[in-house]
Amino acid sequence: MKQRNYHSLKAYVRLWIFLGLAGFLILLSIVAPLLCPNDPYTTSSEFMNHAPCAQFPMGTDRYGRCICSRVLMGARTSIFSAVSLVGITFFVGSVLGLIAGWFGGVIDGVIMRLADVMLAFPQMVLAIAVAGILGGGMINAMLALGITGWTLYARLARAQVLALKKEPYVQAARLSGCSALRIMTTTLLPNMLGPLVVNAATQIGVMMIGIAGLSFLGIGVTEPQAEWGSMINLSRAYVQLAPWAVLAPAMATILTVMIFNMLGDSVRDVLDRGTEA
Amino acid sequence: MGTYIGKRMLHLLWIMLAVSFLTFLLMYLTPGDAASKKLSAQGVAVSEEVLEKTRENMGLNRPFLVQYGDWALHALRLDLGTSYKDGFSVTEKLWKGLKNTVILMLASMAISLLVSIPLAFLTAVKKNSWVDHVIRFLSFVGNSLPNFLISVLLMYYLCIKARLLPVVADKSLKGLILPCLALSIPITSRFVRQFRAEFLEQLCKPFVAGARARGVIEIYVLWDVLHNASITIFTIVGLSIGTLLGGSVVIETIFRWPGLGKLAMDAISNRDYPVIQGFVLLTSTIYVVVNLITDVTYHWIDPRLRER
Repeated sequence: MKQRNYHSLKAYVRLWIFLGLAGFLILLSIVAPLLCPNDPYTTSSEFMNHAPCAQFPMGTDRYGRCICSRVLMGARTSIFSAVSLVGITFFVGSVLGLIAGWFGGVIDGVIMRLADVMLAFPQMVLAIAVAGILGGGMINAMLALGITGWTLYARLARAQVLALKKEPYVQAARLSGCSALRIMTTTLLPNMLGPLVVNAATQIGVMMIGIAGLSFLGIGVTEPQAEWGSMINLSRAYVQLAPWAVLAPAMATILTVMIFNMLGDSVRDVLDRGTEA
Repeated sequence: MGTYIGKRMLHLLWIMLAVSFLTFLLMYLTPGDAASKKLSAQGVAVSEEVLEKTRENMGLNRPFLVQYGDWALHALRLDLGTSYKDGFSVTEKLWKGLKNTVILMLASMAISLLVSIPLAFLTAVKKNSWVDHVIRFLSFVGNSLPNFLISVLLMYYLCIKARLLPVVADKSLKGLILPCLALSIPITSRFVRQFRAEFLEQLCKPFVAGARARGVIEIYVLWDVLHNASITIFTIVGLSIGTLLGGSVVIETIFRWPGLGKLAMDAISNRDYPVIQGFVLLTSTIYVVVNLITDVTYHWIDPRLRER
């Protein structure tokens, strides 16, 4: 274990505030269907590109759909997909890194060489190619970003295991006849979780931007499903007529990414100060 | 140093082999067979007879590994096949796009460096002052903005509302401004944060205190700090090439800049697989080679690493 840093109360307060805000956003995305003032998928020829009014608090898009409801439902898509994508890559990457670091040899070689190769592709380029070929959809977009996403955790977990392996308490667990699975889950995992969680927390914002970017290009979440990136793409041609149709999802994206990035920063401040800025 | 470069070159060789294999596999695994894709991309009515003939011509009846080997050997000779869409050579198309993308990337990188280094210095020297807080907040916001959003917002406010700039990027300098801005804002923001951390670390070093104690003018001290930080700056710049390559796809599509990214997006919407294949292979090659150059230069600049 590295020497413990003493953190100011401020860092903890910040962490709780942003945890609260992020929790609020997640809650909001769960109860979104109850909050929608209108049906997010109902089109209407009467209210095309309609300015914000009492019935449509944020106006309507070119198909006459309620922007406010779509932004709310879009929160669901964006937050759910980013958080679950980070969760999955975090889990898969950590497990693979753990296995590679603990067993070494051929298994290590295969896993880490695979990671090396995946890292040879610029993440967004590969994601665009994969999502483009698979032809859109939320699952495909997540897959496209996840292909390279796991390597971050795998490398980190492996490095941690290699360092921890030499620790006396790990040796002791080994000598006392614990199975590999037991050592990995009860001895190694709790001691290496910190840096992994820090990275996962900072990745949520990155993945959110990635998924929104793919959707914007038309190869991520596709119409008519409500998603901020694709909403912006659909409305940008009409931005002169209906700026609200672009600005509402844009502000939602900016705020959400900022909150999750702040959360990532404060998790890092509390858990470890050593990693790069 | 020689053995280090040799080792890295070997590593590069096998990585490129694996990359090319995966790229080929990716296209091979796409649903539907290549012959009907080619014909439908050209808009030809598909009959079983024509299909069989095209398959024969394209060599699709051979085993997978033979097809890969053939493709890879041609790729080594810079022949990436022909576009399904119009029959032009993929290499030529990529080359044309590459030139424009490089212009865009170099200009964006130059803007990013010119803005971020002075700002990072300012925040590091005036640590915890209001200037520091404002710049750090702005860089945080910039880092949270997706580049497509920046593009759309810039377009709306600068082109449509203020009518300052053209919406579609022509090849003039004026047309280059918006794509460059959109591409460089997130990168600049990240640079400011990373450079600030490095400058702060350097400013704490004894040589700075020593120079200041001897009454050396501050500007010379800062010059030395910049000099010492240059290795880190260099590495950070090298690592950001991936972000630039990915970002340029989005930016070029929005501003219709005729670069690699736009080529790739057009190819995706046309299901023009040889072009997508070539694009992935080319960008990965650029990425890997730039990373190699960064690492080797890093070893070459830093005398402590050179001796090993």
